[in-house]
Amino acid sequence: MDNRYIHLGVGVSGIRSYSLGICKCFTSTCLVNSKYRELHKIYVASHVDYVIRKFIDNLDILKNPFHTYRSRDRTYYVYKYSDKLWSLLKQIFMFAEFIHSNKKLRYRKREIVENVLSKCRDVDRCIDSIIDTVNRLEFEIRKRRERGKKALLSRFENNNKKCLHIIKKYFSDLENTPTFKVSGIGFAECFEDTTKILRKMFPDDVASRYANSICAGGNSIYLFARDSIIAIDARYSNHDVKIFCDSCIDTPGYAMVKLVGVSMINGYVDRVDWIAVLGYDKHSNQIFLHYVPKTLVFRDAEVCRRWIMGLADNYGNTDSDVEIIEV
Amino acid sequence: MSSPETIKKKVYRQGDVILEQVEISQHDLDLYAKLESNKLEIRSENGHSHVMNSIKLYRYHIGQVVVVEKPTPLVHEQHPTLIIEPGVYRIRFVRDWLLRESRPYD
Repeated sequence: MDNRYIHLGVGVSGIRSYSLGICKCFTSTCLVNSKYRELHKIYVASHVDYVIRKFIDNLDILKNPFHTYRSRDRTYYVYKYSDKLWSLLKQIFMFAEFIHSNKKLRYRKREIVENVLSKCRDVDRCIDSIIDTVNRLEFEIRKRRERGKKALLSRFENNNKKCLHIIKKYFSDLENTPTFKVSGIGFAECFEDTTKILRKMFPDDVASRYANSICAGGNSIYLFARDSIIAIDARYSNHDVKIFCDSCIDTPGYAMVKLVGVSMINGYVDRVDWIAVLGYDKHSNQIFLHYVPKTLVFRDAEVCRRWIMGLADNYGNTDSDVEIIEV
Repeated sequence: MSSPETIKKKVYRQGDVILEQVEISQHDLDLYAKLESNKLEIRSENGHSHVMNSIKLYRYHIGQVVVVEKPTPLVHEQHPTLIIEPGVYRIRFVRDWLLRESRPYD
């Protein structure tokens, strides 16, 4: 006879995680005495609370535990072990995490969970219902992402066309930028190669800062500008990188373009790697390039310029009670 | 939305240097700030300097602040001169985004 027990530790929303484990005893001794412990234990974060609670409250098999106890901010429900129940609980935990991992699903969690529960006539059907729902939602997410990638590409391509005249007039280097390939795999090699190149353009501390910035995890082509524009290719995987001009400004004092560096997969935008503002100061006859947060991806060049001046936050919200006087 | 009566905060930019108007009373400056100089000189990467004379440069907890008592020119060889109106200004520089750490580098 199987004398194992499933301990379902119900946490507190936002405070205590949920746990699920198998144990040889049904009391709280299981938690403190290693002799009784089994290796298998799963935790999910406390903020997935809603989904798990809904299953506990609605499934008959979970409503009548063999034993309950409280320990360290968790209420433990103990059930006699069965393969089916163990599979069901594992699926519920996975399902809760899956729903929480996607913002759009989080907003629909009530409807999704109720739909699954309506098909839970027995354990087998309940497991099938969860698996089918996860598959269907994953398909929806994939489709939505593909549509988003397509739309993003169209936006970048259209905006790029609108700004071509400014690029040609002020930043002709951009069309034929010298690119230096550095080792993108090891940090030390990448840092050494990048610093060597950037030291020709910037003081040592600035060169080191930039090298540090792109070598630790950067997997893209990055632009740098001083008297001219150069590109450093720090990719460690074989994917396409494209640089689009998403917005531009031309004023009596300066011309500026917002550049977006993106990784492409199958001809579509897969990931935005970086966003930068490339400008030309007409008074000092100098070009400059500053990176800005990726959260400004849908903001125009003027908002990015304000971010650089510290007058906009990372989401592009600007202070309207400011009078900018500049040269 | 700002009403027509609202006095807008002045922000001056000359190249990489930004002077942002702040509200600090002379009393607070006397108590908590340290007077560093009567001249502002900020050297650029290209060797030229942003210069302002006849001002008071203080070290305050938010960084360096400049007290301008009469309209004073901010001069740089490569940029047109900016006339700074009387007021208290915090000195800042244009910032960059640190790609690796996902935070601004001020």
